[in-house]
Amino acid sequence: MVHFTTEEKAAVASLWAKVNVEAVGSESLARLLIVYPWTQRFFDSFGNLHSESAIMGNPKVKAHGRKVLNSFGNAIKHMDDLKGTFADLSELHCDKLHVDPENFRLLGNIILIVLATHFSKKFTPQMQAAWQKLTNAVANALAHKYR
Amino acid sequence: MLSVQERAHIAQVWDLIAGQEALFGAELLRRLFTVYPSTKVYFRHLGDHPDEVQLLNHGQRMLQAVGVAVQYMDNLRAVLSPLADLHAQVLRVDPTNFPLVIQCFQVVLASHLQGEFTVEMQAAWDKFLTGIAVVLTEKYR
Repeated sequence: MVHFTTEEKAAVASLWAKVNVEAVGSESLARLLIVYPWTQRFFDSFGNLHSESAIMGNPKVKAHGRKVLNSFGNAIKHMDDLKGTFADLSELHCDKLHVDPENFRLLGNIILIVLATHFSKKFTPQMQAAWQKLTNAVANALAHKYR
Repeated sequence: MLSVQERAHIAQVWDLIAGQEALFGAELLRRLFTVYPSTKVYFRHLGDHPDEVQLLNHGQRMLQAVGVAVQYMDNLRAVLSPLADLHAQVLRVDPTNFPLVIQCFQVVLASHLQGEFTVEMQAAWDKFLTGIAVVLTEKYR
């Protein structure tokens, strides 16, 4: 089980309070699909992903991105039990969606880059470290039920 | 293979770094060591707690090499050959560490450029830096 220190929890929570979930979520997922185009293989039902502008403007991408980042909000409330918190979502991504867990790590990394564009110098190395630990832990929790 | 647009994005971002290699390099290393402490094993010559001067010096060396790669992005294999030899024979940095440096590099760019670090720039730099990493580890075995 991942242990987050008091400082790490505080760092994560303080930034989260200022995050625009809609903007960061939709932009992160769009960037994933553009920077790593092979990830589009999991989104056949999302419609037009044929160009960067199509992806950035795609309403299903925006909606799913928002959903993903909202789940981070839930994660932050349960940082001491991420595996339990994400158990159902893990089964879903394995059994129904068949998503390679590597994608969770890739998306987590992109969320950090998008946070850096929004928060600039406030996204300090310590802030980056705490958030990287969180996104890694969420990725692992989402992969936990795979079989 | 880098497209014309990708090359333009790479050159455009480099214009902002050129002349400040030490500052950007130091920040890259600071973030690398903070977020991924295990990478410090490869920098023991900087000591257990590298100071600002050491980070600036070593950071500058790393970023200057990136600058050379930007200048010769059509011929990375030839121009980075001596560095590839160094990494294969002396440094022997496990290849899994290069994505960590690339991630921190992107965070540095993102925090400096903010909204100007567009998805096109991110895509170009991710591809470019990954290409550098491939060349640097190519001679490992």
